Amino acid sequence: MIEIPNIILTVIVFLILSFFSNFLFYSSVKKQNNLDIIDISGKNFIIFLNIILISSIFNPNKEILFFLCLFISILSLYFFLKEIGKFKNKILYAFLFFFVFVLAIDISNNFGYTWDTKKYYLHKATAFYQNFFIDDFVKKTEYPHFGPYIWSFFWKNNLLNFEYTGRLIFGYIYVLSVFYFINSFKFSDYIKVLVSILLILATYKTLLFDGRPDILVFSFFLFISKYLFEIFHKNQFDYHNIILIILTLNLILWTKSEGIAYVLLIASTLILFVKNNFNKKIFLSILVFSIILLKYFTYYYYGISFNPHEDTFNLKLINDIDLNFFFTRSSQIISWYFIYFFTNPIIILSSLSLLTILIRYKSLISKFNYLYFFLLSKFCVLYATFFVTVYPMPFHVKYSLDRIIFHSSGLFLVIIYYFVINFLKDKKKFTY
Amino acid sequence: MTFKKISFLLIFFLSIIFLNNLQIYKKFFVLLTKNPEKRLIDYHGYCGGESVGFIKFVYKKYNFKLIPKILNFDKMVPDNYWSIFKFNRGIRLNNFNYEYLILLNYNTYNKKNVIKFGKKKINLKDYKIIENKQNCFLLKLL
Repeated sequence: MIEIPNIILTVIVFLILSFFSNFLFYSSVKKQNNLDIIDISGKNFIIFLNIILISSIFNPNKEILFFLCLFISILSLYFFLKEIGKFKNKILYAFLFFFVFVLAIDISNNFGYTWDTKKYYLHKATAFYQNFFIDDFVKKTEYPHFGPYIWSFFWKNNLLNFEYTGRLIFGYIYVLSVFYFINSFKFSDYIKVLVSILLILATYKTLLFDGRPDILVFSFFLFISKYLFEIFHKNQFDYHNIILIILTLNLILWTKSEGIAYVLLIASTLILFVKNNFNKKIFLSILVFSIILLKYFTYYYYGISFNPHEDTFNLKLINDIDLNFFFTRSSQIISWYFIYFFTNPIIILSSLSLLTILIRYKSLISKFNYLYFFLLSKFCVLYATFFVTVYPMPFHVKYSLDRIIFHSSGLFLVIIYYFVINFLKDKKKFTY
Repeated sequence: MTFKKISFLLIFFLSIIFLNNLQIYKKFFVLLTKNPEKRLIDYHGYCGGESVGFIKFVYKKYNFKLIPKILNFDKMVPDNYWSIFKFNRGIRLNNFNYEYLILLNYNTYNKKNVIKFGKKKINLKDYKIIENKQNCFLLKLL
């Protein structure tokens, strides 16, 4: 009986924490009326998660950290409401609360942990809950710790201290990322809610919220999608977007082993495809280098291998490479890649949209050059990784490739948006 | 019908479809009537597979200071210790308390008294059964 009110209270706490760093933007927003509450929540929550991530390196007392963050968030919210008062997208915000609550009910009933969760992630979350840290682990120490850490952080700081209460944050980050991304588009509030529901219907699976960090990476990529949309389609390659991208990439870097590849791919995409802005590209490169260095020095300090996956990358395999090996591996990788690529709902819809754009709106094709580059370079990295893996094949590619494709599938939603907008313009409806 | 009304109706119906897919009404009722531990045991079983119920029962009753070795004869189980919700380096380093032994999914028709796992051998004749539910046993060293 007490769990339902606890879930409502937990969701309210998440919403309050989404105002954590609002005081940083206070001077710039003070003169504005009708601030976008979804935009503010998304930005602040990314900053909040980075604060938790950086703090986690020093293994602080989680309760003190939580109450400090909550206190700052409540103060920020108070001054926000007192000075600004009015904000837009209230309907969207109400649906955000509703969907987070619904997902929280679902997650609370989900104890169907997958293999990886039972073997690795649940043990790590339990260890963090008991105030152990990454230097106490024996197995899979090279796996980044942010996913289990944030799980244990909210597990420990919940009134009921049940394990699932820590996983509710995964649901909040997911729903927030969906609404935050859809909010970039020029639709009316009701259409935004409709599109958000459709995206949740297409991507939500209860099993994704068992504690594995894959759903976090997908959500962070939706945040990145918003910033890339603003950079490439609204020509806003400013320091504000650069910093937000770096903060989101930092979260991805510490969430999954392949995070380092994603950081380098996104950075390369920006450096190669943003026109001019040489100084800002230098700034971006320095920040990317800094976050990778931070991870390296943290791992060095705690005596953890920087090899992203000890069981995958092993130089012994080089002796086995011959022509037969090359053809067998290549066929396994390429065939499974296409199977999983074209069974992802977002990829299916994006591909159909791109095909229609190619036929009817050819002038739009060049708008997505950065996506083609990301897709191709990601495939090359995947190919190289699975080519050298010492894990049994095709077992390794069969049971991990679908998740890797899922991670960055949100980037391609912008293609669907352009198709829909141009299609509706043709029909002379919903002009905005 | 105005655009706003059509959108609202679509949102309403899609939300209903979503709630129905997730069986939210049933899950809401389960939250009201069962505590998390009961939900966990109902999902994973008392004795069978991971035997979460039996493990939790013996842990509550005996309050082990050191983690006893769990031998699960169902080889499809990835890890036997996750349901304890207690981190212990000993589990990863294979340092266990052999004063107690938990056997899960043990077939009593199996006449073998010596069980090998890795380099370790255990003779079941050195133990006595102190708890038994179906195919789950808690043994104590004599």
